[in-house]
Amino acid sequence: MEKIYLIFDYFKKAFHINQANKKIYRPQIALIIVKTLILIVCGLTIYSYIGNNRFSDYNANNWFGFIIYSVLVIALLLIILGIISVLVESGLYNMYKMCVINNEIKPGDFKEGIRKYFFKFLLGDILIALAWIIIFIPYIIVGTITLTIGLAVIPIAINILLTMWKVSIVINDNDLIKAFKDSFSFAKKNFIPLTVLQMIHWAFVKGTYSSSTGTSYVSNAGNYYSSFNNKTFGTDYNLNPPSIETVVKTAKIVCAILIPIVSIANIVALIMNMIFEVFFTLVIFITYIEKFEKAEKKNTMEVESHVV
Amino acid sequence: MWFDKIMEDCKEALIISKKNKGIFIPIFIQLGFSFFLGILIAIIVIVSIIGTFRVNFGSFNTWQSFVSILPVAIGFVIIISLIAIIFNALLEVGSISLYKAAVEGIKPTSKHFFQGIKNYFLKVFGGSMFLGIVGLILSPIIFALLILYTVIIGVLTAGWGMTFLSTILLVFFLPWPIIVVLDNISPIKAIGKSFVFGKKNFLALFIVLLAYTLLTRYLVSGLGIFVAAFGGWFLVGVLATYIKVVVILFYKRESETVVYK
Repeated sequence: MEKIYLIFDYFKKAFHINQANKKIYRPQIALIIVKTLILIVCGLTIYSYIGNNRFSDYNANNWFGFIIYSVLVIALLLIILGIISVLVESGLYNMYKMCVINNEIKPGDFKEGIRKYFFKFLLGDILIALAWIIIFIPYIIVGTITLTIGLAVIPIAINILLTMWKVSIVINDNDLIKAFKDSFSFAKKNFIPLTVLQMIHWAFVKGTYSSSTGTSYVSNAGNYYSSFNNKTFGTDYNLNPPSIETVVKTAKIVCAILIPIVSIANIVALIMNMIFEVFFTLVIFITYIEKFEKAEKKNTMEVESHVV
Repeated sequence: MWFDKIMEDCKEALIISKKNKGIFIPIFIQLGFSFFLGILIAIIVIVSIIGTFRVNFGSFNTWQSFVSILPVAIGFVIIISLIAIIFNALLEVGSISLYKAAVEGIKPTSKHFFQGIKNYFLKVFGGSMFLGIVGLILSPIIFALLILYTVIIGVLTAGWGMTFLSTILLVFFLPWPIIVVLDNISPIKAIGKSFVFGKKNFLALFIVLLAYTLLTRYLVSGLGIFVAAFGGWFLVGVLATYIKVVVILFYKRESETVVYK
């Protein structure tokens, strides 16, 4: 329990480091701009696509090709976004390290982080994704047998065990295998306090993408709109079915309304996520360095090591 | 600095909660009451439906017949709300008295719980009724503003606007029963003082109550349906108890600066 009390001290330290180093937000802001631009471009592409000749040419014979094409485009976009995110993350982690250890950020720290950690982070993330693919079916089976408890608890436990691997790479310049081992051993030693810390972290960060997010508000609005359309144009009122022109016009209006709304909601969600993510990553760095040890205990150990 | 102060109080509240497990007993009383009220509502609803259909079966196809049972339904809602307000006020003052004892280094016992009910129940009940009636009178305006806020701010802020609104309401309204018990003042004065306290220490209270709101949501929705259904009440109760201990400690620290005339 005493280890849990220390979390509040780490919060205090992280808060002051955060206050003193506002530059740490710059790369994330750049990433938010990139993500928003991609979203707007996608929205505008869909908008211009609705109603043009290529769109109306699609019929029952070539719909399969259209779906495959759309899935490939989305997958490519997600891969590009994922790589950009890892790129920014590797630079950022070096900035976090500098903040926590030297309490200052120098101009070249971001680039240095990308150079040193990008490939390690990318490889680690790919390995974790592959591990998830391998354990997915056993995970679903265990989750179902345990009445959904496993479905929630297994990802939490895995994420707690993997909390420190990136930090371990950055702080100790470890290779990937050593970093995973280090993360596992840290989590095993401090499982309960680390779980409490991560629960608070996820409550804030995942709050951005919870059921009450703008996306669901927007989709609810969309559902409402479509149900309104069904009632207005559908058979409930014995009206004629809408013509293709009406459907296209309605879809264009919906698209035009949704593009700015989704963009603004997305920017706000990403900014909130950024603020909390920066704060809690700093806390995780401090936790890794301080190892849930009391200041007096650490001092005593340092004195003892000097004596030896 | 405000952040350091509130973090110190969060840490202190955890130490106090660990030492005094008795402060969590009201969670079980709350569960018992909710269970009782749920069964009562279910029985009354089932009996009324069966009774109404036995008498008027077949004639329930016009809006007039539904309007005829409206006064009974409204009366039923008022009675249930009144029972809930009375019980919540009883539990609130009893619990806060327990937390107060624990914060002051005294072992909290049932004596503190019942003493709290005896001394402060009428004040907190009066305050709750006052806020309830004001809320009821203003409900059309509040409802309209809420819809407008949800549609504009709620959507454009990706839902954060709604979370922030509920947290801001907690900042200003959560402390008043605590102030009634700690300062032994009238409910109206406590509500006023609660606003001054919330305004003066907005950031500190906002951060800690935002954490409470988000953690409550995460623990209930993030740990799976099974945990939410069977353990949600306990997790939410523990968090609510803890956060009230934090607010008590913070109010005690800042009470000298909170002046309300």
